[in-house]
Amino acid sequence: MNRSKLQFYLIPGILLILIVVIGRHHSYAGLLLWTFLLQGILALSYDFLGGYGGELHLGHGTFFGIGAYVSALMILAGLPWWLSIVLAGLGGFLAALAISPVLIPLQGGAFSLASLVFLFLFHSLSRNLSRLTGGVDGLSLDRVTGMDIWLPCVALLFFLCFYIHDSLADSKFTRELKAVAEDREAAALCGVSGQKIRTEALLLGSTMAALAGGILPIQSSYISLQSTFGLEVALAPVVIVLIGGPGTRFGALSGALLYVGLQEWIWTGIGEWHLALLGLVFILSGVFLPSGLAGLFKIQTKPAPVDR
Amino acid sequence: MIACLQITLGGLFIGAWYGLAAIGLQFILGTTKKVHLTYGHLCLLAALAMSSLPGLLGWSPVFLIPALALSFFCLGWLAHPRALFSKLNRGGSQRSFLLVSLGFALVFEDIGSRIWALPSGLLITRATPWHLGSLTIPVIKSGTFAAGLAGALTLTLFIRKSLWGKAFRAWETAGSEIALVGVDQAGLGKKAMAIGFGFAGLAGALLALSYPVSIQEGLDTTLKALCLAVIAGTLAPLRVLGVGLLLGVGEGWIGMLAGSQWSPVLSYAIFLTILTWRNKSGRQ
Repeated sequence: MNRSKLQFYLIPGILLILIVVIGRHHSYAGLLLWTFLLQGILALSYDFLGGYGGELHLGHGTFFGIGAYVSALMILAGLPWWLSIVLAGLGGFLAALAISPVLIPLQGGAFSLASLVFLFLFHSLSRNLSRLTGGVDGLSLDRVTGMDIWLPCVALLFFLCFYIHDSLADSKFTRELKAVAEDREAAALCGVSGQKIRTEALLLGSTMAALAGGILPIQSSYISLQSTFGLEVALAPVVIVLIGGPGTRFGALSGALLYVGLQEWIWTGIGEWHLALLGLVFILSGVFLPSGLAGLFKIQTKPAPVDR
Repeated sequence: MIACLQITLGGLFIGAWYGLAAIGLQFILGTTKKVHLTYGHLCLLAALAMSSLPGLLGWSPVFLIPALALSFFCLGWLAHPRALFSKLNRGGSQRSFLLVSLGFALVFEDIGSRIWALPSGLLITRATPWHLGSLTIPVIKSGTFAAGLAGALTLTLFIRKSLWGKAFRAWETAGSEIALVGVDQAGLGKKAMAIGFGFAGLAGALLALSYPVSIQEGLDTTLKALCLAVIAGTLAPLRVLGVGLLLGVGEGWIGMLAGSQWSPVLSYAIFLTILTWRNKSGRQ
């Protein structure tokens, strides 16, 4: 890693640690930070298949929900919280692996709908298997840890996701993903397997989302169908990436910052008409920012040097 | 036996509504290639308007159904000016369109939930059902079924026989290349939206006659209609009605055999199977 690259990670890393320290002493700031970091992780993990892969992955929240339920069940079974998070990630990975033969061959609208149907399927399964998942009542846990644990934990995961997302931004992996998104057949002629690269992107993004879901029961001590497999939860990363600009280095992050900031401002500052105002922001963003915030500031991934 | 027939009949009635609601979205999707996320909210707004307007204006529901369909047709025409279309068609069109339509869905949901805080419907129960032996046939739901069939047939004839229909079919197959032969895409887009919105108005108005609705179900309605539209394929109103009927009957039967809570699970499984099968046979 060269010096500028090191500075690139060090400065936000130090800033993040500082914010976490402040957040631990101010519960409101801590909660706000939690929301931003969680949405940031979901948006970054969505951006692999939803941004570089060019798909509208409406069911990305499925893996967040799976992670949350796996983690809650493991904690209820008496496992330590950190192991529950790891197992949540593993659960998300395995679920993505199981789903991939159905999901990956599909493209465009069919992909979006199939991924959304998986979300609904898991939502219905969680509701119906109430003995295991608590059904509509959800799962309540005793307080697992305090903010001094879950906030650094989510910050660490966020930084890890940011690092992975950034280091892959100019890589062969994302170039291949983009190529497959643009023209699958042409990419295949150049020796790029669409099936393989898209499966890898799905597995990577899903594991990240499931890890984030794994922290949810530790933070809130309660999970419900709405907070895990809810449509609002699933649509948030999609909207964030659309606002920020899909498949760009900072699109997911700037989108998350704007989305969380706006939502908070509307909820606390305006209160009434919050949904309509959020809608208005989406409309204005769609009309005046056709390439997202990243397009507004011309933040693009640099083309990688050709390998010789 | 009678119970089985009654379940099938009930499924056909709700399926006809699913199909009718999906016809408009399918038409928009098939021609403009845009997913209109406001569509379900429009259906429900029409239903909620139908539940309130007869009391407010004293108009007959029979008159209000075509009036609402026509109003939504005009709304679709006016809400998609050419300038907006050409702006949204420039770079990242699908992204922009999704954001704008989702934004309008949220605005409608907020406004709608303030006007109609509780689920509402006109729920005409005065009409005496018909009896065919031991089989009970509700009059209003039969009307919805007939309207679904008539709507699908009319649109099919329009697509197949009219000059505009030919233009829509050309747009569906050739995409933006139709501009090369002088076809105005923005104008076609406006017409497609107007027709789609008209069907949303019609479906919503008919829904309110049989079921109470809430604006919060808007996105779910859009997604269900979208599923039907994708399964049925583009510009095939009769096929989408058929798929809607199948879904309705399937849901009814699954509900009876496995319990109503498992009905959506099996519907989703069937949907995924059909998508996978279509993809494998190269008909994505």
